[in-house]
Parts: sequence; C-alpha cells; structure tokens
Amino acid sequence: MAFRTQKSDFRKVQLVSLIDMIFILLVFFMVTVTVVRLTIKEQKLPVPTPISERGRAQIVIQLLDNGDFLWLDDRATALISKTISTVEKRFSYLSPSELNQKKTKEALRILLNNNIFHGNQMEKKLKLLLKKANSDPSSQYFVLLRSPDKIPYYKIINIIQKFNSARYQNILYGCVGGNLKDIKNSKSVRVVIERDKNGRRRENLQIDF
Amino acid sequence: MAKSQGNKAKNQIIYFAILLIILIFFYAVRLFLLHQLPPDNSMIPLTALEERISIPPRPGVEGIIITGPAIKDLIFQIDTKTSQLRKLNWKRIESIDKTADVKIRATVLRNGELEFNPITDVISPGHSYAGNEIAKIIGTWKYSAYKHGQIYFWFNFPSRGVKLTVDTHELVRNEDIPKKYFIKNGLLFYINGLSISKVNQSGRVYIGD
Repeated sequence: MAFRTQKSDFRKVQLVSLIDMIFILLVFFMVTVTVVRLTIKEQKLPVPTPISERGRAQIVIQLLDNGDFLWLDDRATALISKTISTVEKRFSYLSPSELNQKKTKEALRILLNNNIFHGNQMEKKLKLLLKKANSDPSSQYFVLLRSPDKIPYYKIINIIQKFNSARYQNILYGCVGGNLKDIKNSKSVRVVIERDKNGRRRENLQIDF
Repeated sequence: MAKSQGNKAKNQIIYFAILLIILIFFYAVRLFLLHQLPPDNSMIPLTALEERISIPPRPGVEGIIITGPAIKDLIFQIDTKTSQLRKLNWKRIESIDKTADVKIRATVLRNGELEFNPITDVISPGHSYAGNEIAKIIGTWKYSAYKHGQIYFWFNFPSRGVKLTVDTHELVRNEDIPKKYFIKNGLLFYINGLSISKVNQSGRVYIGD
C-alpha cells in the first residue's frame, strides 16, 4: 500500500515573525514607559529660583569689550567713602536729591578713573589675590565676575582657573553678564554701613543699576 | 482550491487584526501615561520655538555690593606715647596722706590735652600736698583727640570700695570725627598700684562750685 503525500496549497501563517514583532514592540514601549516615569521624577527635583538681588562680593571684576577691566575691591570702597564725605561737606547747601545726584556722579567719576586697568595687568592682580588667599587659610574671598557677551569664553575660564588654583580653595566666584554701561549709568552709588556675619561693622559700596 | 485561498486570506486578516489590537493597546497605554503628565511635558507648543530666552534674574544683574573694610572703633584713652606723660603712683600718694580725698575738674581740649586750674579746679580738703601731687601728674596726661569737654576725677584714698571715680558724662565727640566711628573709652587713668576693680569709670562726681 503506497502512501501518497497530500499536497495542499494551504500554507500556515508563520507565527514566529509575529512573536518577534510583539517582543520588539514590547521592549520599545517598556523603554518609552521608563522614560516617561523618569520625566515625572525629574519634575519633582527642586530647582532654586534665582533672586534678583544685588550681587554681594569682596571683589568685582568687570571685563570690558576692549580687553581692559574694572577691578573694584575694599580699597575702592574706602576711596569712594572719602569722596562721598568730601562731596557732602562741599555741597551741603544742595537739596538732598541734588546732593545724592552729585555724590553718585562724583563717585562714579572717581571709580572709573582710578579702577580701570589695562588687560595685561589682570595677571598681576590675580597673582596678588592668590598670594593673599594662600597666606591665610581662614580668609575667604568672593569674586563677582561680570562680563559682556562679546568677551570670548576662554578669557573667563582663564580667570576662573586662577581662582581654582588657590591652595585652600578659598576664592569663590560667581559669573554674571553685564557691561560697563550698567555701572556708568548707575542710579546710585553710595556707601552703606552693614554688619557682617561676625557682627563687625563694615563700610560697603552699593551700586544700583 | 478556492477554500484554501479563503483560509489564507482569513489567516492574514487575523494576523493583521492581532497586530493592530496590540498596537492600539500599547498606544492607548502610552497615551494614558502621557495624559497624566502636565501639558508642558507631554507636548511641545509650536510657539516655543519662537520664544526668546530672557536673561534670568541673578544676583549682580541689577546691582552690586562690594564689601568694604571693617570699621574699627576708636578708643578714647590716654596717649601713652607723649614724652611728658607721668604715671601716678598710688602707694606713694597713700603713704603721703592716707585720708586724701581729692576731686579734680578738668577740661579735655579738642586736641586731647587736659586743662584745669590747680587752685579752683582741684578740691582737696585738709592737707593739700596729695592734691597738688596728683594735679601735677594729671596735668601731664593727654587723651586721644576724639572727645572734648569736662572730665572729673575723684581720688578717695580712705574708701574701702571705689577708690577712684572718673566721670566722663560731659565729654562729647569732636565734630571732625565721622559719625560712622564708635568711640569707646579705653585707658582713662595712668596709675600704678591701683586695682581696676577699685575704679568706677564714667561714674558721677559732684564738685561744689
């Protein structure tokens, strides 16, 4: 008895490829779901909102477009304090608002005439600051670096690298955008007496843009 | 033949239907998860591309404060560097007159020098030797030029409690000293052999005119 193989045109659907596809889709959606979950997590991260307040520092370095820089430190504060008291004495007959204008104008004039340095003096200034910081581990300096947009970023990085090379890491810094025009057009320049963290009275220079 | 073709078509339809159902299921899950997110995270608004990033508020954008030098308090005290300064020897005066009760009214001049009339401003009942001796020495004392006005000394040798009272209530600060400085009292007397606990500084002394 001979068997005859039954030939049929009917071909079964290959489920292997279907399973492959399902797994691929499954993996795809699993990954997507994980990403979505991460987004939810990220949302809960507390992000500090910057406050629009006056920047407080011991040294302010304002970089200028032409490569020069303005360096303001406690010596500038002392100088302005002297200038303001001189103006107060000389122009005591003026009204308070006029006197304030006069004080601001004169203080700015002195500030800009005495504290703008040529670009090549930056190295020297930073070396002096480093020397001071390295000589006393307990001292701490905060430098506010203001830079206009035009300044190449490497210049700022170079300055920051100097701060970071302090032996005791006691030179802290903050960077902010801004140009000399802000200082030149200041609404007021005045000397305020405030107490520091240690309760010592300090004569601080306040410049409002 | 026709039947097998029909089966084939049927299987293909089932195949695509299953695939479609799976896709719809996963898509629905994904949509559900996306809907749970806040609108900002689930979709990017078309207008977002056109929005310009504004400079965030940061300390230092609207003003700066440069920490100045600490203000040192001024000390109103006897200038120990003056050449003619003489120290009062308490034991010596005591040995001269144990019962001496001397009151001196002196004027601190703007330059810090002490001025008094040995006859009218020195009240020393009984023997005047101790009074004269004290007056001679006090006449050499010179204070720092921060205050001026009347200063009173009461030397009470027989007292078991306060032996010396220095009254500084009538001293006023010199006008040329900037208001930012606090003036503290320092060394108000220059005496050897007298314990500080026996002295009342800035106490009241009444001298009859």
